[in-house]
Amino acid sequence: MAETTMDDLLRDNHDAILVGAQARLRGDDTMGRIAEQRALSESDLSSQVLGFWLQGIRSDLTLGSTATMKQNMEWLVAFRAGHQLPFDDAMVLRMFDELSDEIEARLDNDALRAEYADYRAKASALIVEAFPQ
Amino acid sequence: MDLDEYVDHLIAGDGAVCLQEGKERAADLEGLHSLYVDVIQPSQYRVGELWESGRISVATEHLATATNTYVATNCYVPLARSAAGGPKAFVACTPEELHELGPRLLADLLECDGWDVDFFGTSMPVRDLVGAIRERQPLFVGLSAALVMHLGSVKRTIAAIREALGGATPPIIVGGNAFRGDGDLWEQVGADMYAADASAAVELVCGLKQ
Repeated sequence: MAETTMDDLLRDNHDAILVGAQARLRGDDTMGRIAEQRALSESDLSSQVLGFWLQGIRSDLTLGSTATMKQNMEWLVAFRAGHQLPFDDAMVLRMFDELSDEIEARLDNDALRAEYADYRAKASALIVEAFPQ
Repeated sequence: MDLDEYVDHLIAGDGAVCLQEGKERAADLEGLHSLYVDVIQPSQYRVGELWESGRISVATEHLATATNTYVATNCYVPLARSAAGGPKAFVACTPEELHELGPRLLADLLECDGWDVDFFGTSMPVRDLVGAIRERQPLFVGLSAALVMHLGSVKRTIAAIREALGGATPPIIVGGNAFRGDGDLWEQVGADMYAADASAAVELVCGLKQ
């Protein structure tokens, strides 16, 4: 039987990962404030944002790099300033961590766990670096 | 009219003014290339930046894109050549990619250069793209991605084409806003070539016609 690849895993568990991360974020104050500002329900906002992030994570893992995260962070910081959104690196890290925990809970071998741990460390560093302190 | 003025008209929805500017620039094929690369492409980037910075709404961004599409279509049609007997080219957006103006500009310029172009628009399913390549045997495939988070999708699409067609895989050229970052992203996705704009892409594939 062919070994499960990271891409197979993210494709096959896409919806479950999103639902799990969304449940973990429910009731987050910052998410609530942004939802109010954007005239969206908190559920719709977290679904959109987490979907966007998960797509980026999958893109990076397919490429075997952090190119997507790097460009997304540049974009996100500019977007935050332009739209005067009340989130910071802690909020972005929390979203990334919730998704990462959901992904890691589904990794079924050491090679995949090592691959994701390496990506998670590099991507977390990019998030922190992207925001002016 | 400079780029700033053109963008002002775009976001104001002045389609007639934008079209007039386009027609004045695109009196011949060289002018059409210039219109696409020096006006429409950078104005789209500018519109994207205006949205990112909160200065225009999503509605205005869509209006501007639709207006640029209208200008491009009306300016290229008088210069388009008959595709009959021309070499076959494919141009498509990868799955999930919904921004089609960039690859549409490429398809237009290729057609004006004598190519018989199949333009598949947004979010082309991989399996169907592979089937179409097998059936119609284009001399190359152009793939576009506007959003960086679609780069993984580009890589998966190219890998699927190569796996299905092996040595019969035509050259694959990539482009779009997603590739404007790191210089080697096009190699990371497994493409054969990269072009920064539609005009450069036409020049790149010119040698494939012989």
